[in-house]
Amino acid sequence: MSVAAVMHPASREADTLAAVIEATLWVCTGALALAMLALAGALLWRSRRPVADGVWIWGGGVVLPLLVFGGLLGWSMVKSEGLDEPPPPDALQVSVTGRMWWWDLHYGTDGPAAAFATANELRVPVGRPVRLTLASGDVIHSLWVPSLGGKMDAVPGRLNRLTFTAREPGVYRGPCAEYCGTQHAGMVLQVVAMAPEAFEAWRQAQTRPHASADKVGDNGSRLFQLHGCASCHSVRGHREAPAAEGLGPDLTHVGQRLWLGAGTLRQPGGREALKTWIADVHAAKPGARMPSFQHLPPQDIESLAAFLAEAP
Amino acid sequence: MKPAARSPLHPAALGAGQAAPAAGMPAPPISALPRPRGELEQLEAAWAPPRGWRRIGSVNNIFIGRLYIATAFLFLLLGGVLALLMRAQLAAPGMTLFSAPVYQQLFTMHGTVMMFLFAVPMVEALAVYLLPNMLGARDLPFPRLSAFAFWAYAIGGLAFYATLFWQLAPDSGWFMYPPLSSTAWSPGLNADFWLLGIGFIEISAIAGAIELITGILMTRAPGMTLRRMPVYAWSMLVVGGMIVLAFPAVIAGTALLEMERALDWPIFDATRGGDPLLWQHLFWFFGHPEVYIIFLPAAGLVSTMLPALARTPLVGRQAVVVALCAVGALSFLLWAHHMFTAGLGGLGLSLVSIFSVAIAVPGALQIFAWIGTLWRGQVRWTTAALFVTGFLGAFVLGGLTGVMLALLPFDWQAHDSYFVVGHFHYVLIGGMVLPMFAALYHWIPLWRGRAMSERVGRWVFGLIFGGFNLTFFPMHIAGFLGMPRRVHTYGAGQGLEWPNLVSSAGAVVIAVGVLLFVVDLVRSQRGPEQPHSDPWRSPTLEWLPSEDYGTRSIPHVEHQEPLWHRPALHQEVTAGVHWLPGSLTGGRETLLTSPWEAAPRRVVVLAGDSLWPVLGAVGTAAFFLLMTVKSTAGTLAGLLLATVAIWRWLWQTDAHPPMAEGEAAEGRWLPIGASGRASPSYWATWIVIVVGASVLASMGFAHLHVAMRLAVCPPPGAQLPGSSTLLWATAGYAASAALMAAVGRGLGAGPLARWRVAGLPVAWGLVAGSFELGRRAALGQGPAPTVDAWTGTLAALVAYQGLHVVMLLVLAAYLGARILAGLVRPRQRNTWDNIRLLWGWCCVQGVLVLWWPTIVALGE
Repeated sequence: MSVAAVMHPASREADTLAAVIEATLWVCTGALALAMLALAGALLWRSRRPVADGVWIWGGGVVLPLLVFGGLLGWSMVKSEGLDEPPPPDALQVSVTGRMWWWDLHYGTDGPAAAFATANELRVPVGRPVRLTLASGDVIHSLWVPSLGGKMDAVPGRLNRLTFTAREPGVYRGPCAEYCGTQHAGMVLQVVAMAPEAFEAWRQAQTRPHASADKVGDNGSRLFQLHGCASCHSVRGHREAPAAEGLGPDLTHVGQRLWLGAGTLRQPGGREALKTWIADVHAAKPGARMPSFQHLPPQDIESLAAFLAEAP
Repeated sequence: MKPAARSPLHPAALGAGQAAPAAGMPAPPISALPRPRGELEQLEAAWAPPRGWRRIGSVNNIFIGRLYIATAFLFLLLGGVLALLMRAQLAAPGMTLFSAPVYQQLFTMHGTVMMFLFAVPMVEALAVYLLPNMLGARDLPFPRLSAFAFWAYAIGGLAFYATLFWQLAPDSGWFMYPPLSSTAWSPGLNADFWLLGIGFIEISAIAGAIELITGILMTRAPGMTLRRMPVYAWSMLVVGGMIVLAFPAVIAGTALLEMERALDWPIFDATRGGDPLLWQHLFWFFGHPEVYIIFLPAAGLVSTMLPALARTPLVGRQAVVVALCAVGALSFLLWAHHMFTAGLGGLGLSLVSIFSVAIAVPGALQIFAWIGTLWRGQVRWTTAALFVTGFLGAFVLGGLTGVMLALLPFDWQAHDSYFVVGHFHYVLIGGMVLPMFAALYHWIPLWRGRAMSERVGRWVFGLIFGGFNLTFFPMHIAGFLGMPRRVHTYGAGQGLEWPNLVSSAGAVVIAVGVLLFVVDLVRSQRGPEQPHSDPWRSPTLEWLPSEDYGTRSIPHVEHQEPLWHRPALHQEVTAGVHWLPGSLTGGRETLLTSPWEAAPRRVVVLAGDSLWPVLGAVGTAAFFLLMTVKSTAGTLAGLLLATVAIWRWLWQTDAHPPMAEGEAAEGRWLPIGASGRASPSYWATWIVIVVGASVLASMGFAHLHVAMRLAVCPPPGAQLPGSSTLLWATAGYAASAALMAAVGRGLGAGPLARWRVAGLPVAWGLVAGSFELGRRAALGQGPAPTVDAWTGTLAALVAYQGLHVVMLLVLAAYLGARILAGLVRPRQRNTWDNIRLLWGWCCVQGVLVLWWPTIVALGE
């Protein structure tokens, strides 16, 4: 299960945020306790007593909050200074485009490694800064992976940046955090942090073409083109030219992803999830832009799923 | 009337209320006894409400205030129902009670209804009802304006709510961010209905601000200096000013969004040079002060109730007033904290963070003042006191989560998560709804002389307060577990099940508490009306015996807790011993007093009951509603009705006073009627001008914002007007203003001769000609406004001025009719003065619109 918890940080940036948050919670809980103690005293203490206006107003009402909140603010600004620094030049560059309702990912060239596209699952190496460039293809979205850092909006017409360095391997949930229409709740990015060697292996596999499986698979490849899937979804190595940008997620090696549909269907392995998705996408994700393929005969769905899963 | 009991106060605290009479002011008794026979009957007759079905035309603040409070409360219930439906859906993961699109209409409407149809109207409604009596005025300065504003809000608001039943309710969230709310992604009428619904609130808010500012500054009882004015009146004065400066930004923003949707002018469309963040700047420049517009009245109510409940004056009263002003001013610097994650960057965000923490200081000051007052006093545990205590707990908690969110690192995690939902419900419900219940319990004896049940009240408080904490506290946790806002469901296995279930259970508890309140309200108010017995022994004037006309005589005030300082005030005022014990002209009168010292200056006759404001509201509502559904005939009919009704309404105002002076008190003769700077309508006109100027500034900012994002300004193909054109047009506007001044020359000496009317069409022709010259030069040769945002925002500015040119035509016609009817005379000149002011402003605005694009382009 993927983790999304502000107080379970798994990156250097999230560590900083969590530290600020924890200290703030303590200070403010203390302030609340003080105020409630004063209130309780005022209400429960039976006898009437004179009040030094100056102490209450200037002491409690001005000096105390200035010191406490000013101090907290100053400390938090100092503590979080490092978050503003630009990422080092050797950061892993990924451009993320939010679209209704999936995440379009483009890994940049990285030394000898070629650029490639994928979707909905961002795999990163542990210990290396990852620099995301955020854009939007339609409306405002927001990328938020609580365990790895703060959020940043993807605003049409602007490019925003978000950097994080994962500290430990794991799977981290990143729900879209700006209301973006019907399936706002169904737009979850999975971030998988892996050991650097594992990440290299994954990246190499990504750049290789999508496997054409055996006969069944070939049939699937043919159906993929015949039913128009290729006009929205790119699959590296498929004979059809890459689909127009942004219409649908890149499906190269989609069978290896942990989830389908941007966090909608868990994909434990095999082709069942793919079959469920193709057979009735709108039951799984009502309102998704993908048209329905309910009319396809079951063996066609089987073939398509097998092709996409790269498995017989 | 029963005399009020002597107040058990510490003498030193009482002495702090500046009991010395202000210089030059008489001490009571002011009017000699016995009062002449028939005087009371004449007063009652002047204020008698209309009978039968014509009752709907009553404009008395008591009548309108009650309806207003009831309507706002109805919207609380209607918005609350939507919340119950939402919580039903979220009680467990993966529930499909509502499809996503329906759920999205529910949360959009919940927010919109609560913020725009409940919260702001309720604080205005309470002021309409309470404030005149609390200030010692007989009514608000513009009773028909309040009536119009109320009816427009009631009709428009209900029509807006009804869109739910046709699935036409807006569904892009209560702050409707484009591009989601633009035509591309929201093609239906839903977003247009939101823009429409907001329009009604904008009207009633501006009208409310006019009443508040002029009423508080000009109609207080004699001797009620600003320092003696109740803290609630201070809070409403600050709120009035905030409305005038904040609402224009959303007026401009909604107008721009509607132009983008209806005319395809790409203001917020990034593909054509617009910027979605422009909307956010405009909306939140309004939106942040808006929440303080909602909170400050509640703070003022608490500061005014608490002395009565704790039976001691407010600790640090002066500091509290300064704190209210500080909150009002600071609130305008914080808007960008709603955009901390939008990618704005840098120094600006840090400054906003600092200001957002800073506003906690005047907040904390008020908290300590209130706790200090409780500490010093001895609380009478009424239900109102329970709700005030609950408010203190909830608002401190909500305010503290606000301080947390002011810190950038904190906000980067918590923004747009359920943590924020928890925060703002704590400050809005804790900070406004709980004080509202306290106020209803506290002041309800003013209505029919009957208090509500204290026994049931404890249950109401327990259920509402307990349910409220159950509902909203777990949301902070859900947010930290990664639950974003506005999700129609959530997945299992993330730990979100129990916070959501508890929240949903809490919502039901709140609903039971509110239901119990409504039941007890109906039950306790049955039976005949009776005079209230001043049950809480309050210090402020609204507890004087009063009828439709307010108090029999307007009290002379010598202290900031007048009823404690002078318990005999109850009988004195009723006996007619104070100011204006009757009606001098046979009409509805109140005193105008000086803004600072409240020295009595004049007696004004207020506008009386009339059906025209109601009809005007119907016409206005019809105009906007039918325009939204694109019915041309209906729109024109509504416009016609509204114009005719408002014309007929205004025609009866600005009446010639029947006599020059009247005896407002023994030996004190005051002029009757007011014009020029002495007239509230003059200041109302200036307020309208400030609003208009602020809208203009917002639209000018929009143009500047998109221009600054251009690499080349003006964009290729566009052309700035030539300087000779600009100079001619400027000269035309100046000439028009000068001509208008000439038309009215000599009005001080005698009535305006009818031939002066000839100047009006010429003056309008100059304005129209200058406008057209400017329009052609700005938009005639370049690309169409649909092509890019620079031209689009320019076209919006031009359209805004064009609207004013049309309005000037109507104003010129009205003024011409008045002159021809011989109704513009030395002591009947408000129409002339105010129209001339508006005319002058429109000319200035025209010149600004002409030159602004050039100034912006030169600056690039």
